[in-house]
Amino acid sequence: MKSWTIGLAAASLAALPLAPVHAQPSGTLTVGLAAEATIMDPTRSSAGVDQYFFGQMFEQLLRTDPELKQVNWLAESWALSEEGGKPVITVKIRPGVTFHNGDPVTSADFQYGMQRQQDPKLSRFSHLLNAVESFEIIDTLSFRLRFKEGDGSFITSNLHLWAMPKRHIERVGEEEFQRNPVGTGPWKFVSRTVKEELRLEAYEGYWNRQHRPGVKNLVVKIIPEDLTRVAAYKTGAIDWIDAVPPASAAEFSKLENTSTVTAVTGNNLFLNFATHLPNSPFNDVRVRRAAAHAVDMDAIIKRVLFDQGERYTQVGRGTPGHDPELKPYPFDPRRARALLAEAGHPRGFEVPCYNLTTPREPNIKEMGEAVYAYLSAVGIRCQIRQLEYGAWINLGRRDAPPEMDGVVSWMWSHGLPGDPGTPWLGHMHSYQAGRGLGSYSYTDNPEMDALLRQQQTTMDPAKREELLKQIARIKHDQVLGGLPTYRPMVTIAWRTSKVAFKPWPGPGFWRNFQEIGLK
Amino acid sequence: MVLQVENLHTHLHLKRGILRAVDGVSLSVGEGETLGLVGESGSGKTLTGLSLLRLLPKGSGRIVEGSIRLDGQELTTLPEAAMAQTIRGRRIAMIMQDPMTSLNPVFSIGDQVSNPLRNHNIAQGAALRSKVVEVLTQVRIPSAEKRLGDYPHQFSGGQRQRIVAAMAIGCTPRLLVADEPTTALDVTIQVQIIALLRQIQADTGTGIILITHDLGVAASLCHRIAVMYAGRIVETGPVRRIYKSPSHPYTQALLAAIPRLGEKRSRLQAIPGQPPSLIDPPTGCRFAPRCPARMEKCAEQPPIVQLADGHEAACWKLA
Amino acid sequence: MLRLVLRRLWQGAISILGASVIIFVISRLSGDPVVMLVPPDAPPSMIAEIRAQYGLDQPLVWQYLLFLGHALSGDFGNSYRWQMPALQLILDRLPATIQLAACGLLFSVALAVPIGVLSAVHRGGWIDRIGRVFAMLGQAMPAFWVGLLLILVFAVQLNWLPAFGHGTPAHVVLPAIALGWYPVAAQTRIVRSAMLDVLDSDHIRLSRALGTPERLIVWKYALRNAAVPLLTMLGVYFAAMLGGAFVVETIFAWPGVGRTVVEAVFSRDFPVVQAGVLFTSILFVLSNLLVDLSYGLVDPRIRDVR
Repeated sequence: MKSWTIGLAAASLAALPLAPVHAQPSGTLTVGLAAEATIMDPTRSSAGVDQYFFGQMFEQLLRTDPELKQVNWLAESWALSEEGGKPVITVKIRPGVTFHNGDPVTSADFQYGMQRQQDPKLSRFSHLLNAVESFEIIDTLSFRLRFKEGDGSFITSNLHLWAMPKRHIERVGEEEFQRNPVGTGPWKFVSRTVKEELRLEAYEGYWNRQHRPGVKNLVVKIIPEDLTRVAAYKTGAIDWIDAVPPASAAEFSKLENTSTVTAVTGNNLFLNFATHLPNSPFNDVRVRRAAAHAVDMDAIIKRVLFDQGERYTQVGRGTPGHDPELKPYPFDPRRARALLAEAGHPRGFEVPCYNLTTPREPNIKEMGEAVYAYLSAVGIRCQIRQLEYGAWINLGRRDAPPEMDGVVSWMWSHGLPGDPGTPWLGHMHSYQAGRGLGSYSYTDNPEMDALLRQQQTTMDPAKREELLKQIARIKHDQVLGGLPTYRPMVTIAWRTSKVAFKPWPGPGFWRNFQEIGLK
Repeated sequence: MVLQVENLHTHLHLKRGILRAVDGVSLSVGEGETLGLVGESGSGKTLTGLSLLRLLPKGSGRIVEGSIRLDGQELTTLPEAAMAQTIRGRRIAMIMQDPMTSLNPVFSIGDQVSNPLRNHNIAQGAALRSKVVEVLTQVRIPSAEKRLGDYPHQFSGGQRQRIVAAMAIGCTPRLLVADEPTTALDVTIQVQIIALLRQIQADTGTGIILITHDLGVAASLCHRIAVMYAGRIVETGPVRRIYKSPSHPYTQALLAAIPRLGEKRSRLQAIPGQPPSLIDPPTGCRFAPRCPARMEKCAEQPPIVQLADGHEAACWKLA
Repeated sequence: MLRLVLRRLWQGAISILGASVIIFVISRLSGDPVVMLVPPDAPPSMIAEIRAQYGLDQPLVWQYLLFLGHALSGDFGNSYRWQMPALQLILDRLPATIQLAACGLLFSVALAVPIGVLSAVHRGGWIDRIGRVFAMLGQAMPAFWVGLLLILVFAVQLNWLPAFGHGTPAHVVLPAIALGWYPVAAQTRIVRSAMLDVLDSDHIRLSRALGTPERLIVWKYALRNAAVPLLTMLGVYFAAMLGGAFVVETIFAWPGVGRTVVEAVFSRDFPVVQAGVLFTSILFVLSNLLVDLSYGLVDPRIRDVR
């Protein structure tokens, strides 16, 4: 039936209120996700998958809307200024926002949340708030963040802070709060059975009257096996399905009474080369460019990924630093071979190529094999080594054996719309042991290092955008820090006659039920 | 006459051919009488016994000719269901050779003895239990009442054979077919079992066919003996006469082969040669190839010659 | 009897200890769990901090002794990923796991015994031949394929049974079939060959000679003798199903222990792996013990043997 593909530039979906503005929504909707969260507290989580759950119940000061524009959310307004040469962000909280237990949201709650996020005993992201010097409460609904130095990705990360119910947590204690989370989001926690389901109830006191759920009860079923999830949708056990397997995407778009949406997820995949090893052939930029010309990524996206992928050149559409002028290296195997010959490898060479098999993105194993096949065809003869996720992560890390000694298929999400700053610091800045820079990087380019550190402390959005574009151009020209391959897309489907759904991005994902309801 | 068998032919259909295992056997058993069916291995005596119960190997064994009459009732034409319900275990019962394997190891003796009683509706419920105790006591199992829940492995070989006997006589059969009942037991126990069989016969008047290759056992229990060779009966007669004046050369050779106490012999006297193949048996007398008194006429089937009261043999020499 | 139980439990305890040591060492050799628990841009200080929190920076022997000490008082530590007690994660899945394993076993026995018995009774006949093909199919079709096929036919096409999940008796039917499918082949063969043996025995012939109806001979007197080898096999399969039904559990989204442990292995969640392996070892020991004891029930000769 109907099927829309939302490109990032498409402005066709305005943020119209979909759910009728009822006083009390009713009914129950059952949806199916492919994976589940292990932790439901945003300040304690470390895995992206946790957002599937807490993203429905907790909110931040800013938010990305369906058009991937950053909009004010719990913050009514905010402003960036400077005092004594150091950046300051002043925030006014929206009045009338309450937690699920009825408590009003105040500056103290954001301060409390920030303290949790900065505590390395609780949070795995405490380093992201290193630049914040102090949190100054102005009054109940406004506060000031003082920075030691500029933090380039602070703003693009929606100001990081989550609204956490201070009084509630202090009263019921940590353990109880982990079991029964309380936030400001459109959905209230009801119950959770590990490996089975999550039950949510629409929060009646939710502040956003325009964009809110149109059904009372939401049952989220966890069905990890692709074909079973599809079967569950077809039998009517669920009316909304996440992550339609790529091979079934075409079938779903033709299914009766089914609407689908295909959208880019926040992940960025690329190939990285062992340029840290002195005798690696990839130290020669011609060899890297040869690799870039060797792979017909469009064909791979079409055939191996069933069109569920989007090409990107360094930075994807919508993300700060995106440069429409930059075009991917064209598929040109003859040029690739010529470059190899020029670089002194007329007969090519053998190289170990590490491939991730765990399907953190659909068909990633097959995608990697296809890419390596193209490389082999021009003379970069790949000896494929398949790795499951744990071994793959261990391989990539610079601070511990084993050593990555060839080509590796890697990924580092920029987010939606996201920011390339932190990822580039991780896989393109030179590796500095003990400093948390270049932990997964094989590049050592001082000019690049300087630019990266500069963007890290630039908070002015316009200045930063220019810097990022500059970095992207150099990265592209020299094929530094890896060769981008594609951004995966996800297809979501739901029953047209029964379900009204508007896709909202959670931080980096589309599995967000901000606006879902029964017709 | 309890049992009258006339011209019984039982064939086994094997891959290599048709084995004529029982080739024209006639015998009879009267009330309270024990007939010994004697012969070497492969003579067809066991199969004769099995034919009476129609327990031939499924598919390959077949009674092709002849009549078996039990108290006048023809058994060869009886439907299979009737055989199981009215004949087997009820009017003809069997005792087998090896008491160690004749009993089901995972069921109590109480269950196994009551089984035929139950199947043939002799008794039910409490009456069944007391009948089981009664019959076990009859075969001299001490404290039968207490041992109903015991298992075969808790009994000696001799006791197990008694239990098998109890299973056989529970429904007071007209005929008991005992197939080598003492062969697997040591001599002292053999005596007990023979005494038991005699006791049973005295108490119930049942006829017994004792199949054995042991002439000594046959002598101690049987009233009459039928000697079998290569699927045929060669001599029949009262036990005394057979032992005192064996008339068929095979019978004579059998008796001569038994070593006697006090005798000094360096070699056992065996019968030279082998029994013939029953797939393609020779015409005429089957013993002829090994017979010391062989004549030309023996190429023809010898007639059955009446020698004295109830004593007959199939031999040209006697004609 | 008591001596037998005690001796088995003692032997079992040693096996379990041995298994726990092996798994402890192997899992820690398989990779670093901490890097999988932090975002990729985590600074080394955070990684070191977490490593210290979990005691992963201690010498291996010391780590094991600490683990053993806590384990003996029932504390297996918290799951690295779930931040809840590892043992609870396993034990909470226990009822569902037992339910699936029992039903799977029941299904396989319900098929294997009749087919095996009938194959033996009508040896060479059409049932025997079909039974053999059926058993071969069982071994040739892997559980995940059977599972998906069942979902496709009975859930999607016919809509008779639910495709996934857990809750009502209807939910357990398809997973139990998918799980019990594979053992049917081996069990059928065991039953068939055991029955052929028994049906040839003297006591069965005697039973027949005494006029016992054939039906009783096969299903009562012969079958119980064939039970012993079948019991052995069932014990092993039951234990395996309890701990290792990973594939079926994933396909049917069944919240069982198998899935939990395998996912823990992939995410290097050592406490859960440890608790899971311990749990499975205990199950194997208990299962073997039960089988040993049940021999005595079925075969009285064994009761009186030391």
